[in-house]
Amino acid sequence: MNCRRVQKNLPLYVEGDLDFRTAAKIELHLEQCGRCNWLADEYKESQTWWSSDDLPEFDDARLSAIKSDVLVQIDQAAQNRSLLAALGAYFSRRYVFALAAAILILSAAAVLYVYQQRGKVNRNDVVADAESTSDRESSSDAGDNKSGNVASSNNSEGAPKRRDRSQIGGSIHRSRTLKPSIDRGVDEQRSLNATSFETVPAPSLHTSSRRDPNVLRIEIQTSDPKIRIIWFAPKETDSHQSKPATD
Amino acid sequence: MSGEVAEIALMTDNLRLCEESANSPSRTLLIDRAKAGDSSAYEELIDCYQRKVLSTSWRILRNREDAYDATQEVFLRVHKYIGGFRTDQDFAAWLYRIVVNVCRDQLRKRGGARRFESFETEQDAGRLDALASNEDIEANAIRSQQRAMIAEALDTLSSKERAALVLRDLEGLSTEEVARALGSSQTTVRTQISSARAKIKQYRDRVLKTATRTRR
Repeated sequence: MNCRRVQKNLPLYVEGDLDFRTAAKIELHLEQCGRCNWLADEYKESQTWWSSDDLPEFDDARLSAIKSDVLVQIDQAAQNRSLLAALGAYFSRRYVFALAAAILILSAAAVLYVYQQRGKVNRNDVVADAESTSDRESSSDAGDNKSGNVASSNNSEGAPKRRDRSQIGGSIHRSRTLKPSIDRGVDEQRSLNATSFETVPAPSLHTSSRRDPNVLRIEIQTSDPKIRIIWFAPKETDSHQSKPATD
Repeated sequence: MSGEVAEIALMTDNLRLCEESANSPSRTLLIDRAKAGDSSAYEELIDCYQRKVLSTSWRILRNREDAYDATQEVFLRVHKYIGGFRTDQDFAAWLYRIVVNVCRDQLRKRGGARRFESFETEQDAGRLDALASNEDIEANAIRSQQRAMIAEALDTLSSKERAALVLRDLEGLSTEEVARALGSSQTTVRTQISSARAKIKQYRDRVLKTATRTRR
């Protein structure tokens, strides 16, 4: 055992707090090492110095007074025991904590349940609202078709009397909005349904029918609800056909 | 006359009971009676342990008034929690635990302010007036100074180290008993004791060095 380890264990060694084997090793080291031996003596002196302190004299009258004070306070506490204190006497602190934890968990579960129920109701409301808006949109589209200068951008294939895509032009202006504010998520779909566009004649590439399987139509809604980018492009299946022959 | 005899007999009974081990059948019976709410049993329990509690409190707190307050608080807490005490537990260890907790609360309340008793404090309290001669007064002054130094040395320790050291070195409990009383592991207690002894030695070395310099 080296000096460092011995010196670390000396505070415990001097009062016999170490196990037999460690104590024997330290003893062996102390016989050989003068500095550690001197340090051990210092520790012993320090221990003697501080633990030799005797108790002061205590006042017996004061002790009796403390005893009677304690008994009086206990009697008073017993007389003034409230309902809560009586419960506390029957239930130990552990039970009280367990009960409190159980109540807390149940309350949290109840709050979570109520919150989830409210979420479901809101979702149902939104879906119902979207459906009713879509219906209204369909009926208004039918009316617009009669005027002849406005095309609906509704993508549903089954929309009645839809204008031909050949009349959709390059610059688009919003002419009518059923709902002024457009939200994200479910509302975005609703806004798509609720918006119609004023059109100018489209370039020749896009003049083919909307149902043309060779034309890819991509719609991008920008952050500004009034601006929507509609991009028509030939499908990839056509690209190799349009490629000029190398021969 | 017969009343005095009865009182003396009761005191002797109490002393005999206090000398018995904490887990003896009669002591267990006494604790059971106290748990059941028997006030006379609780009174006997106070008689048995009051001095022990007071001395331990004083050794941790190093102030007589604080020790009296702590003793009172300890017995109030014992009464409050004795319902939760299991008979298979060691009552002395349980009691020591309460004493240590109460003393820790006192130390916390005291904060950084040192309240050990100096020679002047004892003189002011009139405790030295009863001494017979000047030699006695001188001896008492030296003892009082020694106590103040030990109190200062203990002030360098944390409350946990202080409690562990007092229980081990002054109360004579084994490391295992100290661990049980403090609710810690034996390894923790050994570390605390080792650190506390090293700090006490450091303090003593510092004081001795200062004293040597002053003499020169």
